[in-house]
Amino acid sequence: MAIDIKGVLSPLSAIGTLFEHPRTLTYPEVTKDILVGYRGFHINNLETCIGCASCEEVCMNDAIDMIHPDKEYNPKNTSGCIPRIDYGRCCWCSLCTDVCPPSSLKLDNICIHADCDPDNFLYMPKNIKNIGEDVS
Amino acid sequence: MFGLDKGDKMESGFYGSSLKCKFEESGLANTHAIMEKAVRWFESRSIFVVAYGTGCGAIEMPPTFTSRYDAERMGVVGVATPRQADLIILSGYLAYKTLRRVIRTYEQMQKPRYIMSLGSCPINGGMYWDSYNTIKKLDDYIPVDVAVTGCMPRPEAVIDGFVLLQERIRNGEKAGWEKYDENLKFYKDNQKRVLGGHVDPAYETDWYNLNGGGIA
Amino acid sequence: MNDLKNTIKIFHGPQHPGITGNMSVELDLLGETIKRARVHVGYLHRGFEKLVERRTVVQAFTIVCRICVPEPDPNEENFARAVENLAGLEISEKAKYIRTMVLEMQRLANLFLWMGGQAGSIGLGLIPQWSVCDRDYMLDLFEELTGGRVYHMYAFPGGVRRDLPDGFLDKLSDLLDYYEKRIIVYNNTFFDNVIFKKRAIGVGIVNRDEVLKNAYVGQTMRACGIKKDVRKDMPYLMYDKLDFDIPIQQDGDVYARALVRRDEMIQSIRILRQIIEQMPEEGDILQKIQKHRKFKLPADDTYVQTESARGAMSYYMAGDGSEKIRRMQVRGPSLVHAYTLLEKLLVDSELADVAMTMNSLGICPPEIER
Repeated sequence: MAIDIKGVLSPLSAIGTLFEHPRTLTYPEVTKDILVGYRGFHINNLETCIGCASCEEVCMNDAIDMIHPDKEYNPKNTSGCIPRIDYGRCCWCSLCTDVCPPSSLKLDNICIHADCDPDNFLYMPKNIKNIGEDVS
Repeated sequence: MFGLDKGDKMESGFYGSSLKCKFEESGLANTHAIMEKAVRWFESRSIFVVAYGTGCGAIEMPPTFTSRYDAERMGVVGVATPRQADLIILSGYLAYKTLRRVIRTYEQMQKPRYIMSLGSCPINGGMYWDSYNTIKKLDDYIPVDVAVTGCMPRPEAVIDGFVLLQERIRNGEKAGWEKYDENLKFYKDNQKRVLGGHVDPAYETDWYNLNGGGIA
Repeated sequence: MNDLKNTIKIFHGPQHPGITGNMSVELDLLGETIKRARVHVGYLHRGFEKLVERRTVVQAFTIVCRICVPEPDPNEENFARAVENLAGLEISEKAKYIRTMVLEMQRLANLFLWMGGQAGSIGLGLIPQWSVCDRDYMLDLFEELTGGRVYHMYAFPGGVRRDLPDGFLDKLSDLLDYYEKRIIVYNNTFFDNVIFKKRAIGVGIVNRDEVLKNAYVGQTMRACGIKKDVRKDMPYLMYDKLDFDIPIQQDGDVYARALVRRDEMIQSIRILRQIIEQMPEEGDILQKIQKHRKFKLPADDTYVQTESARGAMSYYMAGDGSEKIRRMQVRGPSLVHAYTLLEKLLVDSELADVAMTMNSLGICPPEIER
């Protein structure tokens, strides 16, 4: 009966990986930069948003509602409403950013949020002009 | 439904109908406070996850549990049966047929037990909000402890969910299984309504205090 | 049914570490030998073919990629090609090259995930740790190209949604060099491993005469010696201009299917290297289509097929002159493998071989019941 010498000895070459550098990303201490262009949370430049509700019309999950803000941000905003997104429905397909006529709605690259109460997932987009800026 | 009134809150970020993360003390006895605190510290460091891939999000479970994002650094390991587990991860939507099995698995896990839900489908229906065979809001049927947003959530987001769960265990906050015991009739009525009028009795061994869920 | 007299019934059920998804197999056991097996699915049904009828064409392209969870890209490609056939859209050559590249990248990623599942099912826990990490490097490239790790939503009727980023082809080329070295390592530890050979040779043999009659596709067919592939028989996108082979084996058991998949990985790397050389510099990425409520499909029907990493996947689509799709029917490779083939293969085999056989046939439950 032939013994498969190659089959017995060649898996032992895996021992050589003991001396390699580990590939783990130890997440909370070391963060990998999420690339610009990743589809994360929404941002909306309220100075240029005209309240046309094209984003609400194209979203097929009914995730976008148009609500009245507390003060006026853009005098050209004819309906007086700005979008608010329900993250219990959104699927991050970015069709709403493709159809936005003044290109004020965009997707940022932060995407991480965990909460203990499932009722807390209505999101108001940040009012910044470009991806990567921060108001604070 | 979500209020088109004037003067809604305008600061950017997440908000909803209730305050973020109510911190309530658990109703259990705190007589041996230091022992309790030590037990909770050890418990938060070894959370075992039952091996059940219920939906879409099971595709991001292998990267989280293998060498790239290694959840075993935090003590999170997969086990085979619900009797050995502390946590069940519901990764995405639930069809009615799966809901019945998930309820049975959840009730077979031993206390303290937790539920984590991934994705936007268990929160408000998600992409399948008009489907005839999925659950729209999971919190009505079994109590959810941690909800992670994303479609699908990245492995870093799942690890953030684990960290949040560990903090809640260490602080001794009111967990889902206590809510389930107190409001058993509410949950069982919802389950019965959606699963066709018949649901198994609560798989509890605490017959003296809970009356077996009102059945038997 | 005298065989079933003293048997025990167990559920290799939905909550189990040894199945490839959310389905269950009901087994009748005599000792450790299986006397009858029955497959139960339906735990993941969402009603896709009805959901698509409520959405316009542009809205429906975002839901289609969730039909098969480990492999979203052949679904997007089929949908885009069906709509282009119906509406008469032509796409540019650069868009065709990019779509071919995405399909081959996704084939490599899925074969690494298969390798992890197959080794994990026989107890060799080392290989999933390596191969899922290697697949993650490919998902990083997808993240740079399309904006998402798993659900890309990238192939749109009329082209693709975004252009190639700068330096992308160099990064892909470096990753392919790394993968060629890794395949040698996997050969040493997995494909030549004496334990895997002893467990896999002679298990799950598929009868060659039934293959074409029952329409088994993919590596199940090619491991029985039948040399058919959608990319060669009905070429689409750029496959008629690229040079590659179709690997086959003759035995038809689990080991033969594993060898066919390893050879397909090598062929995918060869195709990707040719695409990197031949990619044109200039070209339109996306043909402009009208507003989504005005883009109407004619009253016609079409049938398209794509070769996914598990077999041939096909769509039938019919429009009726309005902006909504009238009927979309999906035929994936897993339904026939799960019902007809698995129930037959498991009779008179051992309990420990159920997980290995399911992984080797490539059964994916989200695609069986959409």
